[in-house]
Amino acid sequence: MESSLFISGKLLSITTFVYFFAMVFYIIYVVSKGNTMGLLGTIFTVAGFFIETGGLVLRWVESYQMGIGRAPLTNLYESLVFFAWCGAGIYLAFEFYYKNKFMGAFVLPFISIAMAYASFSPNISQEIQPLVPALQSNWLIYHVITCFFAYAAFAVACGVSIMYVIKNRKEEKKQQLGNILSFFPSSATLDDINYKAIAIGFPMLTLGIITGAAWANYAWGSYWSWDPKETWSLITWFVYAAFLHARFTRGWRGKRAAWLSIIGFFAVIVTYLGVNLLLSGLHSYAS
Amino acid sequence: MAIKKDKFWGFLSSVSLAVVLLIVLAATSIIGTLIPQNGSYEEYLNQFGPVFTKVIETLDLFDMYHSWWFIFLLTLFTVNLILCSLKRLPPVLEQIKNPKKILTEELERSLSLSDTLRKKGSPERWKEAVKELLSKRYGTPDGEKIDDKSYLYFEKGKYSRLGVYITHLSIVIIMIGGLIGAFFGFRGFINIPEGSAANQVFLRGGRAPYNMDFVIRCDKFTLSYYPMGMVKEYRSDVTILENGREVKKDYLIVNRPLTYRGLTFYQSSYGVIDRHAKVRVFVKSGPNKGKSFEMDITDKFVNIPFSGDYVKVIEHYPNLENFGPAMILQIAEDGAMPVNFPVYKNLPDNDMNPQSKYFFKYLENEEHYYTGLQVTKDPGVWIVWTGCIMMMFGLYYSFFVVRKRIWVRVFFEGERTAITVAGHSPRSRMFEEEFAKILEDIKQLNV
Repeated sequence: MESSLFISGKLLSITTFVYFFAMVFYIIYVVSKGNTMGLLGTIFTVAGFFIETGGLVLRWVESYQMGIGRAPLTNLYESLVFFAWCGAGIYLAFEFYYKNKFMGAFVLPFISIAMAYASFSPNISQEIQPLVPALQSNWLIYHVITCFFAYAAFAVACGVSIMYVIKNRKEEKKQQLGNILSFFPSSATLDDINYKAIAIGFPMLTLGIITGAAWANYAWGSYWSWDPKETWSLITWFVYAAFLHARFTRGWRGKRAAWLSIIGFFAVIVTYLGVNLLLSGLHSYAS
Repeated sequence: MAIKKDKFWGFLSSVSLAVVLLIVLAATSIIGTLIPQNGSYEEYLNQFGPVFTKVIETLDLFDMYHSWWFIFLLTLFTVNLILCSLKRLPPVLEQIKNPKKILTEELERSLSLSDTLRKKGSPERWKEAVKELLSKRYGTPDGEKIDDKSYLYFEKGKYSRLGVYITHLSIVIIMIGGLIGAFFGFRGFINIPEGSAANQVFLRGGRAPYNMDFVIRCDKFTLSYYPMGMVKEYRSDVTILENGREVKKDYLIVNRPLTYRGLTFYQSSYGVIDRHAKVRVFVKSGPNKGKSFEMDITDKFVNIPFSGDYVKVIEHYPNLENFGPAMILQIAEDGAMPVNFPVYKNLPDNDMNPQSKYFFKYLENEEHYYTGLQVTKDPGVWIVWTGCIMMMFGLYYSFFVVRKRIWVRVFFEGERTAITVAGHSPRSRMFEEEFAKILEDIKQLNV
């Protein structure tokens, strides 16, 4: 048991470094446009994704070996790791589909920060702990998977929107697009990726809120109680709903939509971390 | 006046208003997560001071999600959503029922994806060949022949545009479910000691207690633990009785509620009513030195036989500091200040209170609990779940079902057959490649 416990922890630590290097390669790629760097970024992201998959699966197996078998989705550490895993998966899908590696420099930082925070913060316990009675439910798995899939999709959308805003600002001032900016995908493509990522994230977030409500109704007898976490998830939902409708409205397309996507991801971060760290409620992780 | 009225309705049913309302709802919702909700007046006064407390009170921010202005915003949002949908739905339904199936010159000009091929061979054979090819991907087409021109119309994902209206309707349904729950439901709690029965539910919000027309009895409350000492399960074994007859036996744990006659019971808390312990006492010193006897201790002081000393049990641990089960006893000897000390089941020879005249050995420990159940009646909850399922269908249709349309026109143009293919899809980026592939496939056809 001890030796395998060692392995999952080790794999996830390695993942942290692999994603970090992937991020560095992508950034160098954007600055230097050296294709080797871009390729290295992709290779490291793919490698990190597979190592992390191994780490997550092993952690699951280990919990069974400890006699407390449960999915590795139950505390802050595991949720950050899972967020990074979803993020890397979704990012890679978009990179392969659009054949553009520039997004990596804007998306990998989110993934890298999540892993680094999970691995190095002294406040985050990496131990495999048994589940308290409130968390012993299959709804936990559905709820966490849908929410984090959504969060990761929104992270991709946010990264792309930041690129859009930077590029748009230069274009508006009719400035010469610098070397780097001219290698960005076109504004239309960025807008398209932003929409696609949110088109995946929004139904997932909705499903995440619904499964959370169903679970709350099962555990506490109330599907909605305006607890800060619930409220912030609804705020996030409102922002992305605004984004989706803004696309059909003149004057709200393009730049404003990109800003809504960035604000939306800010709301995601508050929902996910801010509420637990700053406010009190039912969702406090392993306190 | 009429213009003004039209403008007003136009505004109320506009998507711009929807965007603004969504942003306003998002922004105002933040307030209630920063100001604690439903606290006491004194707490607010302490935290915010008199002036700000007055402001908060005027705006109902202590319970802002039920305040008049938040309800107003939600109502406005719902009205906007309904009007907006009603305005846009009829033309969409009309288009679904009667789409433009004939590729006229005018329609062709309005479509960005269209191309004409000129081929040898009869129009009839070309029409059949193209029909066969495209049917594989887009299903059976509608065909028509006007004058000497043949037309084909393929459509996939016809109902994807209804997705948004299904989603909007689902929001209204969820709100109706919520209102029904708020008006015809309640939330309360009931505490039942082990072995007792109860039928009175205490309601939240200062309402009069609710008397159930059946009785629920707690037969046993059990706490179980993981090897490392964390709580694994809170469990209440209960029996439901009607007119003194047992009608249902079941158990409740967290995440496994029990529903009976429209009321749902949830395991939500517990408490200790009394404690009993059985110990063997050895007298170490004093006039009774060498005596030994068994003794029952409770959570009220009990006299130790042959002495003026008293003992009680104040706590029980299933696993104290990894030494296993233990009880904490409190002993008052010779009128001195009481002393607390543990007695471990698995360490029968360890004397944790050497100064005392007595040595205690753990025999048995028994606690009696009461179970705390939350009781909920919510007749609207199934309407809410119906709305939620509808919403997922609606979102699925909106985002994952893509509408694709292909028009084909075939006619004999002097020496050759002209085949015009046009296409349209709201996901133009993806569809462009697909359309190019279709044209390529048609070029490869031989008739």
